[in-house]
Amino acid sequence: MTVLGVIMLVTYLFIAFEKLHKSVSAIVGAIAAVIAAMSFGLFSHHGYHEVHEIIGHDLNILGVIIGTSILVDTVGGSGLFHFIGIRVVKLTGGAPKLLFLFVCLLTFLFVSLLTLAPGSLLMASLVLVICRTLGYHPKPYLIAVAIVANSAALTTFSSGIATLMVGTAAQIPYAHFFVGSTPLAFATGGVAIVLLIKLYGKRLLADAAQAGDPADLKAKVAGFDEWALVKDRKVFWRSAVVLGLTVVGFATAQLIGVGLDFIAMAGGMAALLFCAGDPEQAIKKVKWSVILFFVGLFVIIGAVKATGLLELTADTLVGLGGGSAVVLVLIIGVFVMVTSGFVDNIPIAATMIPILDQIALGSPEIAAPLFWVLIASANLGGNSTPIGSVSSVIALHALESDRGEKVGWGEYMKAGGIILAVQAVLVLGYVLVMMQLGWFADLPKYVKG
Amino acid sequence: MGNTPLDDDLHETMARFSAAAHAKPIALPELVPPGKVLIAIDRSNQDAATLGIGAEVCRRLKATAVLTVAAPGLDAQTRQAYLAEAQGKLGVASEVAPAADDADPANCILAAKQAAGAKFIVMDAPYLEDIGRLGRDSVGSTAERVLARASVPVLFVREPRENPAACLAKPLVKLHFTESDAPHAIAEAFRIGGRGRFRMLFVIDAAAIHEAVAILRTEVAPERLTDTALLHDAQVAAGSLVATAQRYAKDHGLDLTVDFKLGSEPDVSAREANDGGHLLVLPCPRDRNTAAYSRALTVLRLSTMPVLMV
Repeated sequence: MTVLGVIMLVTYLFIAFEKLHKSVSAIVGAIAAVIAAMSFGLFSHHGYHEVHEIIGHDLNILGVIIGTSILVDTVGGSGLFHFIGIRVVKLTGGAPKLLFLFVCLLTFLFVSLLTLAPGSLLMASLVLVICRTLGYHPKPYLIAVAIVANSAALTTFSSGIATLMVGTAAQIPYAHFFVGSTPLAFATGGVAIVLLIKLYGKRLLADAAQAGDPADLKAKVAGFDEWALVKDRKVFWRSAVVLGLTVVGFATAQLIGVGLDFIAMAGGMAALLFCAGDPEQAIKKVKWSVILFFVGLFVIIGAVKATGLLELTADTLVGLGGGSAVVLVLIIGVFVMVTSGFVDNIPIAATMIPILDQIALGSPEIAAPLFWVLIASANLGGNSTPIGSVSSVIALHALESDRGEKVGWGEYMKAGGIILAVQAVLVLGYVLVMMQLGWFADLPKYVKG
Repeated sequence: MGNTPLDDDLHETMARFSAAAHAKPIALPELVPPGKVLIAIDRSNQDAATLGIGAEVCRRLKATAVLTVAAPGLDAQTRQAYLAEAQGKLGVASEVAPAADDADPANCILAAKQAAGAKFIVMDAPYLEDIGRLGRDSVGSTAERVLARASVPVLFVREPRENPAACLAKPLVKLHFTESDAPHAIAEAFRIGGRGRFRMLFVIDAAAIHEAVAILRTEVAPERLTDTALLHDAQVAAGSLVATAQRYAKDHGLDLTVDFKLGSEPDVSAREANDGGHLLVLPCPRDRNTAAYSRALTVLRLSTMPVLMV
């Protein structure tokens, strides 16, 4: 137990401090975990085949990542997202505060539909191009993208990988998200936008005043031509239909008895078939390093689970809560939020899932609040630091690539930390109130009988 | 921008947005109906195809065909008989151009065009399949001289094939990023293609770009010269033309596909037209000393499909 626990901890430290590529860290950790588990006879039932069972158990997550990646790349090639982005920017007329607001709203929309990484990448690129064209400084806009994206990851079952992992493991029905996390996505996103405008509003205006005559800027924005992005109008509309059907498919997957991985793969293949996708290019674009990262992580956690360490952690957490569900929710919420700021939220969520599963099996009545607080905390925790989430890494890297400008921890935390503090109150308050009122629907997996 | 995978992704999405941000409105020229189209035949194995395409061009442009036969050493009676037979095959309103007293076929064609006031020429560029590759790749001095001196669009018929006019319904416009004639070529393609399916092709010749960079001794970061980066930058450079053409296609309910391909420009252009059975539309400066003129001729040599030089 101790050896496997140390392997997991060391791997997480390597992931957090990026001493090695995170996929390499995860796979090396997995190899070490398998060796240790086999040495201690932990895989006694099926021997090494248990590794495949562990990976197979989470294959759906990998299927969703691969399918959506192909879908997003192919649909993106039609110019659909870029078209929407430019159209929305044109509505602002280049007015800095309105542009800032629309960047936030568009980030929310794209991340909700496309998940965190592609949505953030799209918005970071849009911000850089618009700011270059208008002579605005992109920093406030990029920080907004980084922060708002994390709220958007809560919108639906499929909006974020951490959300998807928790939802899948806890077998949360899609419709439950509209009560459990969608309100939190809008509320925390709204709070983030309001606070960001308060923090950066004056700077946005000053920056715009330096950039030139508002009438000239307005004319520049009006001159943007979104049709420059469209290679084929038929493919463009077909892409919109395929994307729309995939979103509907995600929402109805459980009703029709298939997994989200099936819908994602079907969407990806439909995009390749009907949206002039290049299979070679689309498959190349799948983030295979992320897939390897997940495989390594699943193996480590599976091996650690076999030691009973996670059960012990669950018991300890329940003990810390002193039998109070409120305290337990608070402990888990705060712990996950803090750690997600420093370590990728994926390993945090992946580790917490079996722990909460253990607790939920013993106390089914608190299963829903525990998983909702995990989903919200894992996604929003990344707001606290510049390395806390995929969106912040993408947005800040974009700034550095474009301007050679780094955002320090202090500067980032001034915005992200304040926002997270308010969001934390909102999330914990919402979950606790809903729990006390009994308004969270029970999770079918944990309902006895 | 660096060269991490994240940088590549950023560059790609930024290139797309930049295309929209930098697109400048371009007005497509209003083309005057040609009124008369000169169809020049030469008693070769391509005459049937030339007549077929010429007739279809006249139908599409609502023009009268003006027939001439540019074959040196032909006596008046044979000439007349040949033209009468050709007129019978045309199936559109036609007239015969007065015979020009010149031994040079190119001069005959240009004189006929002048005399008839034709604003469009349809003729063949030799396609001698029975003498193999040498013949297939040649254009012929007549075609070249007509092209250099005609101030109107010239449509060259190449390989004789069944239903030669079918390609007119799917023009492929091959464009350069800097060509000032591009709007004219786009407009001509839309005019002749009618309600057909249109393709616009941009070819990125990476080898030529590398050479230009070396000649100019320009400092360009290596990651900007990768095939992928060049493709992305090409999209930005072509933004105005793409936006203009797509808007026109949208407003007129037409199908337009835009493609960006890497490779040797004449090879790629001809291959795309040949494989897809397209009418290839090329902007072509009439100045023989320009690189663009030479490239256009090379494309014409390699093409088995009809080529419209605008």
